[in-house]
This record gives sequence, structure tokens and C-alpha cells, in this order.
Amino acid sequence: MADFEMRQISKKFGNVHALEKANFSANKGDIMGLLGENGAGKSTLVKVLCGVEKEDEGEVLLFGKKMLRRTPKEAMAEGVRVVHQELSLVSNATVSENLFMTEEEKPYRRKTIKELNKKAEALFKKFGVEDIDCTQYVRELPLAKCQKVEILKALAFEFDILVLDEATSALTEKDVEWLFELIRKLSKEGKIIIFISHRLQEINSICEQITIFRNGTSVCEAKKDELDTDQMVTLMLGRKIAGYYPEKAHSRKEEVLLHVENLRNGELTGVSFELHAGEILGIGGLSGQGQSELFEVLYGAKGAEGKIEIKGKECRLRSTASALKRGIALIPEDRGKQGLVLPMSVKENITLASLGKIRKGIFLSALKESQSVKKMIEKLQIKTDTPEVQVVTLSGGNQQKVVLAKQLLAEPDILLMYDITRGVDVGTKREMFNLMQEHCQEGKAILFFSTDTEELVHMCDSIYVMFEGRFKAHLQGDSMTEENIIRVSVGEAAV
Amino acid sequence: MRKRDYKRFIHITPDGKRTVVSFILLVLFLVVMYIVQPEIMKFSRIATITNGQLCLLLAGIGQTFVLLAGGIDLSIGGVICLSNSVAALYMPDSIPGMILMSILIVALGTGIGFFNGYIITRFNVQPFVVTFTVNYVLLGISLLILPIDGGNPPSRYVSALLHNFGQVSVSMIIVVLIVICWILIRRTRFVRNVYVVGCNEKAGFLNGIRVSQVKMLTFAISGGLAALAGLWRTAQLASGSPDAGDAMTMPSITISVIGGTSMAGGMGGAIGTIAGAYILRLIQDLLTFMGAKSFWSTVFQGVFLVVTVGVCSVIDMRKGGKKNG
Ligand SMILES: Nc1ncnc2c1ncn2[C@@H]1O[C@H](COP(=O)(O)OP(=O)(O)OP(=O)(O)O)[C@@H](O)[C@H]1O
Ligand SMILES: [Mg+2]
Repeated sequence: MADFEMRQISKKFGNVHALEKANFSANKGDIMGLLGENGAGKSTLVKVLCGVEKEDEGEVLLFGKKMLRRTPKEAMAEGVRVVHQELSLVSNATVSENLFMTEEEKPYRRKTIKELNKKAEALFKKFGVEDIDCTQYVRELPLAKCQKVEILKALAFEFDILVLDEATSALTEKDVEWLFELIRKLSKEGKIIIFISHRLQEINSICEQITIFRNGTSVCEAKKDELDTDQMVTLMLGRKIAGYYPEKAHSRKEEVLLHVENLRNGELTGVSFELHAGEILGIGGLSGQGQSELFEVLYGAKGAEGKIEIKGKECRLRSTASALKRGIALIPEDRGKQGLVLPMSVKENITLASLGKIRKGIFLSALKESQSVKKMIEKLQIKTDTPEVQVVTLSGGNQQKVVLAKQLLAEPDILLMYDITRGVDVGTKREMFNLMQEHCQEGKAILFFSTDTEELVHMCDSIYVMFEGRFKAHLQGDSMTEENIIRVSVGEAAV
Repeated sequence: MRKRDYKRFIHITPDGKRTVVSFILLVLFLVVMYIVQPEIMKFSRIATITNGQLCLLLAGIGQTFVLLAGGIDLSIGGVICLSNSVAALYMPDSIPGMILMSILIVALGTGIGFFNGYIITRFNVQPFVVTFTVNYVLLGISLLILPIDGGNPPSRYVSALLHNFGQVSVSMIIVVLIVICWILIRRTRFVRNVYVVGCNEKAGFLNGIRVSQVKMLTFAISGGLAALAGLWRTAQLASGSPDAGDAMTMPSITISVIGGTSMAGGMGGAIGTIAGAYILRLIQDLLTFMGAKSFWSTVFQGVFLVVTVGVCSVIDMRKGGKKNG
């Protein structure tokens, strides 16, 4: 018998079987990779383990003892620590307050702020964290750092099992390295690590064992060496896929859709470029070098000096509404807070940015609405019971698909994409890439920021690498390599 | 498969569920009331109750709009007072005059609402603070133009609004019209945007919704409806009072919330508010019937509020409908 076992776990939400007699086991010191397509039930398994959801059937054993896990707090006491897929930090509290919010013995509010900060600093030192100020408010931190704080929050106390549910999806590459180092150390100390990710290189480089989930049950448990990447993907999706990237379409035309000259504000220090019809223009660089700022400026959400010309006409983008009217749409960084209205239905979210198109007189046409929604759900294979369910109930990857569906439905000429493949499975990624090419073949254009350099190299016509608020290099043709992107990202010259 | 399709067909939205809860409560109260006082189900009795509650109901619907967009309007009482005073003093005794005066008063209320909304969105002040202050100013103006209760609205105005077509009162027709209007405008882009802004303002903004405009409009609607409520009150009391309407503000929130509208915004709807208005009245009647002292009514309303809010949040939790920042 294994040290940790989840046996025959079933969980139903309404009509949806999120888990159906799922088994999962691991031993002390294991780094167990958990794979599966979007909506396979990975996060649900984790939620059951940590007491957020109660299983309908099944039991969980740790070192032969049954775990009760009636509440998340009890699960923590029983040795489970989880970094959830969706961030759960309190944005109006400081980093150190967030770190020790779950402390058991003494309520954190009795501690003085100073003591808390001291503790936080000690924790940072222990785990080698230097780039976060523990007195800062969480709302001021970029997503990548929030993710890091979330991980540290889990590490702050004793545990036997650590679950990382797509905890690397928002991390920078350097931080991923940092995390892997740490995981290896923890595994040597005999902890059980469960690592969930859609990035197969990560799984390959860190995990020794893997479990693959499909439709709520485990379909494979194996040592990593027994499977190659293609086999993993086939097992995950239940079918083969033809390559991870489509052939380059080369649909770039001469017509210029967007001309930007010398954009400057607090974080941008002079950005100029041209975006042609039919082009996928890549933007690389470490996140936090001004990419999100640039997108927000182009989307009218923030102001900047400089010149913006859309289809040859100079314009001032005063609001997001005016940007949308001129055919610019944005897929933002944080889907939960910026992209989606979580308590509203899938349907209402998909049509959110194109209500003008489904109008009939002054009313919204229910028929047109459900038709367009149905079309998008099929096109992107969004896994939802009905379009009426609330978006929060969808799995993380499917929520991301809803964000994309919403913007594609609005049919913008220029689509600004901020890391759209975050938390999306390989099969769906492939679909998304196809949709991107389709979009460009219609003479529209995409500005594509991604933290995944491989994606950039395979998808883009050319790539700008951003460093300290400006474009440091323009990589074209043969110089468009992953190595060059990384070199320029850290301030070196391309070769 | 068939069972599943059936389920799809009767799928009720979370907003729908909240409304259903308020109607279940209404039915419960009606049953209790019917047992102790069978005449409650008589048409004439319903007409009387509706006449009595219409002022609050109109105010409550306005409040619902504001709450849905995530705000709160504490100036409703003030607008009612002002509208009531002006109408009681200056309502002319000719039909075109009456219509013109009513339109003017509603425009005044709408304007006040716009002003609230403008200050709130332009200077980014808490709705609570702005409307609270504006309320006092409005009460002051009312007292200025009508220092003591009085005024004498033309009797034709009063009898027109309190008219009965057979058994059906004007107020009942108005309630039916409100229901129809709500069902229609629920399908407009504007109301959809109101819900979005109430749920997640930031996402609304990033999807091209002019958030300030939407908020401003909800306050304007609230102001306009409050002015209408004042007009109704003038007919109902056949006189004006510079300060009595101030007591309408809190109940307008109460009935919205009993009707399933969330004070955090983005959840609920006006149909529930109608149920809320009747429930409030039934609570009062029931307690009067039992001979309880009047403060019990207040206590009971409070208890009730807690219960409905509790039930609604249980529904939300079960649907995983937690809100974000
Ligand atoms: N609270 C809920 N209500 C209804 N359905 C739910 C709820 N939570 C999860 N589901 C459904 O359960 C299924 C499994 O979801 P889960 O979040 O576990 O997927 P996942 O494997 O983590 O996917 P991803 O890789 O996209 O994060 C999905 O189809 C989802 O819609
Ligand atoms: Mg998940």
C-alpha cells in the first residue's frame, strides 16, 4: 500500500461527473505529476483533498490512516497544503499579513505588524526570495509575484503533502527554476509533492511519476521514463494530435493596420512599431517589462504620450469603449478579475463585448444570442453543461476559453493577446493557434504576448522583445530563436 | 437524455432563484394571513393594499436599479418629500396642466438623480456619502417651500389616481405595467450592463462598458421613480408633507433586499422588489391583527431581512457564485 491514497473518489455537480471513481496514490518523497485536459477533474480532486469540496463517495488515507478533512482548516492540520489554481490572496492586506493568515495557534491580528514582517523576512530568507517586499500591499503586486506569495504562503507551515495546482502558469522562467529547486529539496525531506501543469516540459523536467486523468478518472499511472511526450498527450486527450503547432500561414500583407510611434508614460519608455494586416506580431520578454502597460494603452485603458494611428488615421484612445469601436480588443492578464464576470452565466460572458451585434431594435435578441454562443462553444469546445451555468463553475482552462470566445465573437481587427494559453491543455492550445491563424487570414491582425518562447517562435511572423519599457530587439527570419528571445530578455544582445 | 433536456428547459438563473424565494415567502405570508383573515384575498382588499404600497414600491424599484449597479441611494426620501411638496402646492387644476406639472416633477427627480450620479462617478465619492448629503439638502428645500403639512392638490388629480375601473384600481394597473416594463427592459443592453457593473466593475470597463454612464443612469432612474412615488403620495394623502416621505428611504432598501436584490450588486431584480413591498405590508398587517405593539413590526422586519439575506447567500454559495474584488 502506498503512503498516500485517494480511493474511488466520486464527485458530482448537478449533471456533471467531475470525478468518477478516481484513484490516486503517491509515496513519501515522490514528485507526482498530475496531467489531464481542461475539465478532466484535477482541480476537483485537489479541492476534495483539501476539504473545500466534500466527495460523494470514496476515502483518503495518509500513512494508512483515514483523513477526515471536514474543513480546509482541518485538512491543513492533517498535513495538506495547497496552492490553488485561482489565486486566493486578500488584495487589501500586505504580503506578510497574507502569508500568515492561516496560522493555527494564535490569530494573526494579535501579532504586531513588526513581528509579522520579521517572520516573513525569515521565511523569505529560508527559501531564497529576494524580489518581494513583505510590507507591500498585494493589490500593488503583478500577477507573477502574487503567484509566488501564494506558494510561500503554503510553505510557511509544516505539511506532509504539498499540492501545486498550475502554480507555475503565471511564474517567470527564473521563478520556475527557483520553485523546482525547492521542490527537489522538499522531496528529499520526504514530503509528497503533487504537481499539476499543462506545460509538458515542466512535467518532464521535475516529475518522476505521473498520473493522467481523463473525464474524471485516472487512466494511467506510470514512471515518467516509461512514457514519451506524445504518448502522454494521447493518453490525456484520448486521441492523437497532429503536431503541437500549425504550419505558419504567412498571411502578412502590406497594409498597415496599426502604427505606433514613441509611446511613453511611467512604464513605457518609447515604443514604436507597425502591425500589418494578416500579421501575428510577437512580443517577448520577461513579464513585467511593460507589456501589460503597452496593451492597456493600446486598449484605451491607460493614457500615454505618443502617436497611435489606426488604418492610417491618427486617434486618441480615451476609453476602452472607443478602442473597441475602432476594432481593438484585449484579452487581459487576469481572467478572473479583468476578463470575466464570474457570477454571471457563460452565455452572458461570451456576448459581453458584442451586445451591439445581437441587438434587435432596442432589445437583445435571445435567439441571436444563443446561436452565437452555441457557435463559439462548439468552435472552442468549451466544456460546460449548459450555457446558462455560472462561469465560476467552469474549470480554469475552460474559463480561459470563454475569454477568448468573447473576444473572437466581437470580431476585432486588432486583437491584443496577453498570454492566452495560460492554463490551457495541449489539445486546446492547438485549437487556439488554428483560430489565431484563421483570424489573420481574414486580413485582421494579432499582437501576441506570451511567456512561452516556443509558442512565439512557432506562431509569429516576427518578434519584438521588450526590456525595461521599450522594444530592445526585432527578431525576424533566422534570428527568431528561443535562445535569442531569452538573451534579449535579460538584457544581452541577440546573436 | 430526455430528462436532461427537460432540465435545460426549466433552468432557472440565480437571479430567478432569488426572485422565486421572495415569492415563496409572499405566498407563505398570504396563507397565514388568509387563515386569520380570509378577506385578504378579496379584490378590493388587494386594491387597497396596492394603493397603500405603491409609493414605497416605486421608490423600491428605483433603489433596486441602484443596488444592482453596486450603489446605494439614500436621497430617495428627500426626492419624495420635494416632489410631494411641489405637487401639493402647485398642481394646477387643468388636465394639460396636471400632465405638464407631473412631467416637470419627474424631470426634476431625474435631474437630481443625475446630479448624484455625476458627483459620485466624476469625483469618485462613495454613493452613501453623496446621496446622504443630498437628502438633507432636499429636505431643507421642501421645508422652505412648504413649512408645515398642507397644500391642496386639485380633487380631480386625486380622484383620477385613486380611480377604480370596476374592481381594478389604477395602482394595480401600474403594478402590472411595471412588471411588463421590467420584463422588457431586462432584455436591453443597458440593464445587462447594469448587472455586469454590479458584479465586476473592472471587467465591465475592460469590455468597453461606459461604467460611469451606466451608474449615472441608475441614479437618474432612481430619482425619477422617487419623484413618481412623491406624485402618487400626493394623491393618496390629498395633501403634502415636507418631511414624512423621508421615512421611505430605509424601507425602499428593505423591500429590495427582501425581494432578493443583493446589496453588493449584480444580483436580483425588480420583480422580487414588488413581492418585497407586499411582504412588508403583510408583516405589518399581521402584527396589527395580533394586537402587537408597533415596535414589534420593526423588530420583525429586521429578523425577516436577516432570514432572506441568509437564504439568498446560501443559494449563492451552493452555486459557487462567490464574488470577486
Ligand atoms: N462548483 C462547480 N459546479 C459545477 N460544475 C463544476 C464545479 N466545479 C467544477 N465543475 C466541473 O467539473 C469538471 C472538472 O473541473 P476541474 O476544475 O476539476 O477541471 P481541471 O482538470 O482542473 O481543468 P483545468 O485544467 O481547466 O483547470 C468541469 O467540467 C467543471 O465544469
Ligand atoms: Mg484546474
